[in-house]
Order: sequence, then structure tokens, then C-alpha cells
Amino acid sequence: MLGPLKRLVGRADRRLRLRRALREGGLTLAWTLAAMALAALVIEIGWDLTWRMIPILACALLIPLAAVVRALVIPPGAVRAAKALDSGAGLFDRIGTALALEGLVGGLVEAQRADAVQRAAGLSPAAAIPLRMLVALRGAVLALAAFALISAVCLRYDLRSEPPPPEPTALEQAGEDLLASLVQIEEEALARGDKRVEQLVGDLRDRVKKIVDEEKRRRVHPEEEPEPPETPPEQPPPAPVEQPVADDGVYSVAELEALHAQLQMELAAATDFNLDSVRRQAARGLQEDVHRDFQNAVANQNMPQLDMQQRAQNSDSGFDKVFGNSHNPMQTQDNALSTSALEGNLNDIISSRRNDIDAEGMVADQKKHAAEQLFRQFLDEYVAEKGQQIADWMAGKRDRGPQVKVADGEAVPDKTDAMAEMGFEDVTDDPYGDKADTGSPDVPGQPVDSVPEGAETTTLDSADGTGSATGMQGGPGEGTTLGAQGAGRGAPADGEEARAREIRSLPGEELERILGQVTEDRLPPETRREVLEEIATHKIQGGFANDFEDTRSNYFEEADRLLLDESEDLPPLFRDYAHSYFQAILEM
Amino acid sequence: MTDGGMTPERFRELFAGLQKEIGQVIVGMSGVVRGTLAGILADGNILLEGVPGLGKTALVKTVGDVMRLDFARIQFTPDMMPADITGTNLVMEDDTGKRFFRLQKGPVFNNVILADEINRATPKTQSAMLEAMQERQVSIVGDTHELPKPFFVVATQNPLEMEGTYPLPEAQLDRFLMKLKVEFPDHGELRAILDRTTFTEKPEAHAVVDGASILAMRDLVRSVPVAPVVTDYAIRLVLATHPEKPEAPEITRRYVRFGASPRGAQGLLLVGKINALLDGRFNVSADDVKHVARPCLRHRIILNFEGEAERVDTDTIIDGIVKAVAEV
Repeated sequence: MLGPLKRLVGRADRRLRLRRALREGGLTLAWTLAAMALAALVIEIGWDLTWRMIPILACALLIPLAAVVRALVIPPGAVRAAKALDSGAGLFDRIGTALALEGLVGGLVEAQRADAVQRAAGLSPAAAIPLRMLVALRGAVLALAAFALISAVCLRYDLRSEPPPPEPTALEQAGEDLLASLVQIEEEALARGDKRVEQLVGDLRDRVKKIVDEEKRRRVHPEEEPEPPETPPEQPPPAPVEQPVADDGVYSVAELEALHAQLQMELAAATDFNLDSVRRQAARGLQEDVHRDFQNAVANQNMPQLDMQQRAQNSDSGFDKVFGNSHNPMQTQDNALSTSALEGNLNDIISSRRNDIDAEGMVADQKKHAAEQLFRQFLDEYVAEKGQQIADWMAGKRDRGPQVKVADGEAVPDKTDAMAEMGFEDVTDDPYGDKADTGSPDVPGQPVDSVPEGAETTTLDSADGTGSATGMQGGPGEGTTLGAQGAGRGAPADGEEARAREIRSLPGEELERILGQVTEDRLPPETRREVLEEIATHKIQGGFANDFEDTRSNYFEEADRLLLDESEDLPPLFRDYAHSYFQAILEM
Repeated sequence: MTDGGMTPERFRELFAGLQKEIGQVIVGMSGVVRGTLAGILADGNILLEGVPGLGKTALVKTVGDVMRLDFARIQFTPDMMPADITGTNLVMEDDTGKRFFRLQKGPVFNNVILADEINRATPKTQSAMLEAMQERQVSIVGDTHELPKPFFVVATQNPLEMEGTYPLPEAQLDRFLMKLKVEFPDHGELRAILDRTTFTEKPEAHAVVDGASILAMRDLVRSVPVAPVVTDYAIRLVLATHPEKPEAPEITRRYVRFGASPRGAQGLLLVGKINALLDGRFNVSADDVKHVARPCLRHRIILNFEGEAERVDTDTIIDGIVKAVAEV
């Protein structure tokens, strides 16, 4: 009676196997593909489909295949098949109950069995147990989508595992060996405290490392073009050096000229004392030493009769370590075979390094030359400007009209002539218009048109007295009058006499003091003497002296400001020198 | 194919008649009515839980009417004594003046017992119902008295008014085959209730079956075959309610302190059989077991502190168990 049910369950069993094979095969394939994609990212097994991927792909396909075979071979069982059949056909365990209670009788069992057979008649296992192709297809599509997504991400962000870089070249290997040897030499020099050798070896090591790095970069990334060597920025053609305008005895121009000349000399000396030049020369020397050591090593390897002591002596230079030479006789032959190649490599290294050094030296020289030109131009312009300012200032003084000139503490009877000799004019024509402090007791604050007749001497800073007096004005708007009050007409008072004596004695002291500050090597003796006389004159004349002080102070301030503004364009050495120069002027 | 003249078709016919007559009086509550009848036909006791005024008492009284059975209502109160339920021996005096004891039977000696608000009685009084519900007999002063057949208890309790109540102990809860929740009627049902109860015409339910038919129906139910795979499924469900069992899912281990007793598995299969018969089948399926899992197991699962604190419903746990346990 249950025969049809059993056959039905048998078909359902096969159907179940097929469905399970599809499901598990699809899932396993999906997981395998996902695992492969993940493995390609994590352990970098390589993304390209090469022959090495074939076993991996085969293993990846074997796993789903094994799952399919397992699902087909292992039966799900009659109970499960009946359950699937009941569930699929909506029989509410009729078939399963009938098969499970096959031997029972009585009660509702027989009715149940008949009912099950009746209900199962015409039942198709294919309809009750669909293969769920959509599910399998959905799983496969999902797996492929995941695979494509991961691949796209890898390709988009270049997450592919890179192929291993090619083997190091002979040049690179030789360079690495040379670097190791140089490090050892440097350590030895450091231990000995030999600063010179340490510095030279360090420089050589840096350059060798640069060569090795460049070679490694070429090997790893051959498609990248090497960066062009750094070219010095084009400097504007140096402006023609204008000679400073000759001034009428103003010492500052001469001083600056002297400074200019001295600076030229120092620049020339600095060129010879260029540190780079020294290091280049030292590096060349060391290269030659290395090359000589190499030649010795080659000679040693070609002479087996060379005793071990000499080999050990040669190895002390570290050169054997550079090329991996060993005192083991078993390695001598191999070393000899590679000698020619190593020699060629070393020659290449040295040649390349020399070229680099020369190129860098040229760049450094060009930079230095440009800096020199820039500073010279600045200095020339500055000297010309200041000279012009002083000349203008002097010309302005000439317009001041009659003035008093005191030389060597002696009063000048002919004041007009004295002023004319100095190029000064009457102070009443003071272009600055600052005459408020000048005047006589009679008419305070009024300018004096002329020196009163009968006054044999005119003193500065006289006490309040009678008669008219002529005082020296300070600088425009800010000067302080040394003697503006009461240089009166007639006999001077006692204070005036004392002051006159003091002033008469001043130029000598001032000269001595200034002479001590204005270095003799900066000015020619005659020029220096003239300058000092001018200083003394200006000092004694008070107003001029204050103008000079102010000008000197402004001189320094402006120079300092210019130096600060041009600090980026001026070499530190020259900037410090100029600062010291103007500082010396200020303290003079 | 028949047991006592009862066939599955007759079973379904009578059952449908009972539902119809009850429906003359009781509006809605089709699930509760079906569950109550199924419990009665499975020879079990029913616990109805719902707020007052939903017609629980009316339902039980109507059930008694349609079954042509003796019906007794016991309104449980805190001062009720066990003798008020079971009865007691009274000292009587005959014509000759001789005194003797005569058993005055309590309300328990009826076919249908409505234990109204059973949780308002003291545990001592509640326990007086234990023997009657399980053994279908009562012991009074050393004498054991059989209860009439069929006998079943339909108890009600109010889940809201907890003051002055004595929650039923687990042992007594286990005596109930099913616990049915009486939900509040919806708009249409409420309208029908008002129409039937606010006019002069009073709906009445006529008897459909008698005690003998009920017993025959009970025999038929027990003859429904169950496949071992379905029995195993019911067993796994019950075992899954115990947190210490390997079959227990996570939700059981988290919220359950103690699971269902073997009576729970019995209820699953018995009520499942009725469900299969009503569905026109001669066998119980796993779906039948699933269908009756809630009413048969919900009062047998004792929550732990975490479950009580989080107010986890036992129905939720049962749903989780049903979802977690495989049919095969």
C-alpha cells in the first residue's frame, strides 16, 4: 500500500541531493572566490593570471566540487525526504506519518495511511522540491559581484601586489659594499678622534649613498625619469658698478670707498677659503686613495705569493671589506674573477661622483658669485646715495650764509672769509628756518643779520650779555644750539671766556679720540687727516656737530634697516661685516 | 475507523455545532472558544485570563449549557475554605433520632466547574482543587469520592488586580492543560455584544452534545496517530524551554528559570490531535504542535529575575523556541 509513497520518497531523496548540491556548491564557490580575492589583497599572492595561479585556481575549484560530490553522495534520509515532500506539497506530515507508522494497525492509523496515499497520488517531487535555481543563481551572481567589486577596488586603487623588484645590479651591490666599508672607516676614525678623516669619509659616504639610491631607484622604477639636476636660479646681469661721486671732502664717502675696496679683498679671500672647495678637494683626495687601494688589492689578488701579512695590511684600509675580499685562500680565485668587474664599477662610481662634485661646485661658485655681485651692487648704490646725501647736506650748509669758523681753538677774525673757505654762508639764510633761539638781548629771538663790528672774537654759548651775538643753529628742527644765547657785542663775560678756552682746547682732544676710532688702515693718511679736521670743525661749530651726530645716527639706522630688508639677498658674512662697519661709524 | 461510534467527520460536525451554539451567546472570542472546547475534549482543564467584563464567566456557563452537563460556579474569595469546594460531612439525624454523617457534596461534584477568580482564594483552598483537577476525585475526611465524568475545570483570573490575590503556584498552574488569554473585543464585537445584551430578547444556547458524546470525542482524539518525528519535535520544544538543556536557545537561557513539565508535551500532542482532526487530518503534524505551543506552554514557563525585570512575555519566548527548534 505504501509502495507509491516509498517510490515518491525515493525520488524526493534524489531531488533533495541535487538541490543540496546546487546550494552548497554555489555557496562554497562564492566563499572560495571571496577568500581568493581577500587572499590576493592580504597575502599578496599576485593578481595576474599566470601559471602560478593555476594550482590556486584548481584548489579553489576543488572545494566547491567536493561540496557538490558530498551533497550528491550522502543521502538526506527517508524521513527528511518525506518531510520535504510533505512540506513542499502541503501534506502536513501525512507521508511521513504513514511511512513511520507502516506496521501499526487500529484506530485512525489505517485511515491516516489511506489518506496519505490518496493525497500523494499524482504528487510530483519536482514540484514539491524545487531546485531553487533562482537561489543558486542569486548566490553565484552575488559571488561574482563580490569578486568584481573587490577586483575593481584593487585595480582602482592600485592594490595589486607588485612584482618583486629585479635583483640588485652589480653597481648597486658594489656601492652597498663600499658604503659598509665607509661606515666602518668612519667609525674607526671616530674612535681615533680623527675629525678630518671622519668628515671626509662622511662626505664620501653621503655621495656614494646618493649614487646607490639613484641606481636602486632606476632599478625599481625604471619608468620614472630622474629629476633634472638643480640649476641655479638665473641671476640678473650685474649692474655696472658706478663709481661713487667724489665729494667735497666728506669723509664718509671715502670711508665707504675704503670699505668697498677692503670688502673686495675679503671676498677674494673668502673665495679661497670656501669650505666646499676644501671638502671637494678632500673628497677627490679620498677617491684617489680608494682607487689606489683598489689597484693594490687587484695587484694582491693577482699575486698569490703575496704574504698574508701584506694582505692583512691592505685589508686595514677597509678596502677588502668593501669588495668582500677574504683572506681565505679558497675565495681568492673567485675574487680574482670579479676583480675586473669591480674595478669597472668603482671607476664608474668615482667618475660619476666626480661629475656630481664638479657640478655642485659650479653651482656653489655661481651662487657665491651672484651673492658677491648683489652685495657689491648694494654697496655701490648705498655709497653713492649716502655720498649724494652728504653732498646735498653740505650744499645746504653753504646756503646758510656767513658763519663762524673756529680752528684749533683760535678765533677767526675774518669770519666771512673763513666761512667762505669752508664753503659756508651766512646763517641768516638758514634754509631750515629755525632761528627762534637766536637773538640778542635787545631783540630776543630775532636773527642777527651780520656780525657786529668791533667784536674781535665771537664765541659760542656765551652767557647772557649785552650786545648782539651770533649763535649757531642746530639741525633742522631738532638741533640744539651750543651757543646761541648771548654772544654779545663788546667784551665777553667771564663765562664766555672760559667757554672759549674750553672750545679752543677741544679740537685736539676730539682729534685724538676720533683718530683712535677711525682706523688707520681704512683711510689714506691724508684723507684721514682731512676727515678728522672736518669732524673737529663740525664738533666745534656745534650745530654742524649735532647735524653730524644726527646724520651718523641716521646713517647707521638706515644701513641697519637696509641690511635687515635685504637680509634674504645678502650672505650672512657680508651682512655681518657691513653691520660691524656701520656700528664702528656710530661709535666713532 | 470509529471509536465509540465517533468518527472524525462526526467529531468535526459536533465541534462545529458547539462553536455555533456558543457563538449564539458569546460574541467573538473564536480562538478562546475553540481552545476551550479543545481543552475539554482533550480531557484537560482551562485557565482563562483576562480583565473583568470580557465574558469569561458567560463563556464557561455557555459551554456547560451546550454540553448538557452539570455546571457549578465557584466564586473564589479569600475567606473561602476547602470544604466550601469539596463539601463536608454533616451530622444528620434520622426519624429515630439516630445521628449519622452525611456527605454534603461541594460544587466540585459537577461536570463543569467555573472557578471564578481562582487567584483570590488562599493557597490552601486553591490546593483543594488540585486533586480534583488531576485525579478527578476528592478526598473528604478520609473518604475518596469520584467526580462525575466528564469533569473539567475552567478557571478565570484577573491579571490586573494583584492586590489581595494569591498567585497560583506552579504545581497548580501545571494542572491546567491550556492557558487562554481573553482579549478585549474590537469595535464590531463590542457592538454585537451591546445589541445582544441591551434588548429584551436574551440569547440562549442549546445543548449540542452530552457527556457521552464528549467522552467519545475524547477517545477519538486519543486515537489520532502521531509520527515519531512529530513526537520528537514536541519533545525538543519542551526541552528547549529548559535553560539547562542543550536544546535550549539563547532566549531560553537568558530569561527562563524553569521550563515546561512533561504535561506540557502531553498537551502539545493532545491539543495537536484535536487540531489535526478539526483540520480534516488523521495525523498530527509539526504545524499542529506549533499551533498549540503558546496556549499549552505559556503558563508552564517560569521566568528568571531578568525576564521578570524586563517584563518578557512567555509567548515571545515560545515563539523564539519554535523558531529555533528544527522540525527534523
